[in-house]
Amino acid sequence: MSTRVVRRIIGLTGLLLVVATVVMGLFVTPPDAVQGNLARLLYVHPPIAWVAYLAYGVTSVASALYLWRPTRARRWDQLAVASAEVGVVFTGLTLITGSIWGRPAWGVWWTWDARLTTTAILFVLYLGYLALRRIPMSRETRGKRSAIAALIAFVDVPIVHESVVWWRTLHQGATVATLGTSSKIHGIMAWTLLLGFIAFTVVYLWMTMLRFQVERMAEQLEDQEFSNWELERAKEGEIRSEAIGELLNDGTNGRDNTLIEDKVR
Amino acid sequence: MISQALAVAKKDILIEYRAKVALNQVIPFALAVLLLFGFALDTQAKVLVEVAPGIFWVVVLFSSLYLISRSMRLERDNGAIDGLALLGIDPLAIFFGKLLALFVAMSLLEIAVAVGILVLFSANLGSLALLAVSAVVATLGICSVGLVYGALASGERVGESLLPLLVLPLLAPVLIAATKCWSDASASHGGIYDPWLKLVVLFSVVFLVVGAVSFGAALED
Repeated sequence: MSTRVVRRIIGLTGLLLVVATVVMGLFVTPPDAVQGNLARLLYVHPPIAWVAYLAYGVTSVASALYLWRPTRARRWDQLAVASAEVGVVFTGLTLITGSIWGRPAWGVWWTWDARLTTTAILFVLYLGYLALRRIPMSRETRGKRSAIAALIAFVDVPIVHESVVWWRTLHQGATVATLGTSSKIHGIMAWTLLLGFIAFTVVYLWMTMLRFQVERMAEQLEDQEFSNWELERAKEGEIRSEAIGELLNDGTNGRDNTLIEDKVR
Repeated sequence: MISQALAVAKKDILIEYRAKVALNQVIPFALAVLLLFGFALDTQAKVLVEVAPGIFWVVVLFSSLYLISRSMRLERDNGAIDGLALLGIDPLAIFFGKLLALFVAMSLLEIAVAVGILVLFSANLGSLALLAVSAVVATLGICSVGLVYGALASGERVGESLLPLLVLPLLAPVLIAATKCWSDASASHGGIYDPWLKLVVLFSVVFLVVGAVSFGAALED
């Protein structure tokens, strides 16, 4: 099976799973005892946040593999950028869905809570990473420099988290950790949440594969254009040297400069 | 290696001593920003004293961007860094040399800003030891991060305008922790064992190591 077919299957599966999550989340599950219908947002918000972290994890691993000489290959750099872009999209969505939930639940769009603040910093950090990739430089230099930036960001995130946790904390404790014992969440709700996690992970997989392919093709196109340009130059050079050769052979010895210039043109 | 690092530091400090960019441009800029904060907060004495530690570090961070990008521009202009490489100077020595020079310039900046805040905002210092240690350690971390990112973003015109976006979010923890150190110090309940100081130390140690490891790779083209 070609990668294109595999990618389509993954994309379709992702779409179906997301639709299933929406149906389950909006129509099948009962409203929450405390939060009412508001809790339905929690079938998407934690899965989206998880995908954002997953994406940055993949970017970090790919960057490390690119930096390490024995494993250095273009595909790791391509995977790093593909995953980072998807990660930034999902971080943005995490912040937006969190805000929408926070407004009715906490009464404000934004609070300076540890997890929110870490996510916001993460968002800006990786926007910077993507901006760094847009600076014109050679492919190898860009790959190496952005890999360093990605790894530094990766090192910084736990420190940011630690500092803001100390600073202030309000976010409700993790409910997902208790999924196994299912003491906090009702059965069907837990299953819907799990479905959400799987659905968005599949969507991540599809988006990253697609973006990876786009990056690959962009590089191939660039190479193609460059070799075309080289061929053209070589051909021009041949025509010139032929013309000069002719002139040298016809005995004028290039005394008539205008004649040579005309021919060379 | 140490003598090489010292030579690089001496070179940077000499350039700074002759050009006086920190003295003539960056410190006046920092003082202008302090005045602006005074206007923005409507010179309410109580508010000013309360926010003084935060403003100190925000002003220092913003002003440091100029010093950092200048430090790296010195190397990129006329391909000076290639000269250093051709001389066979260890990238680690370049890193620590530049770190030392940047640290000296940053210290001057911090002293000027601190005096400005003491005079303009009538802030109080409290525990001097905690303040001094936290400032020195935090500055080392800031310089280290700045140098690596300066190297990553340098080489192209667009790169320099990117530096703030790359560096500032990364420095968030040091801003939080160093500000808290000063708050604790001025409230006089913070000693040298202040928990926030530990975070500043952690940050700086981590980024000194990261900087030393990655600076050479970041310089290579």
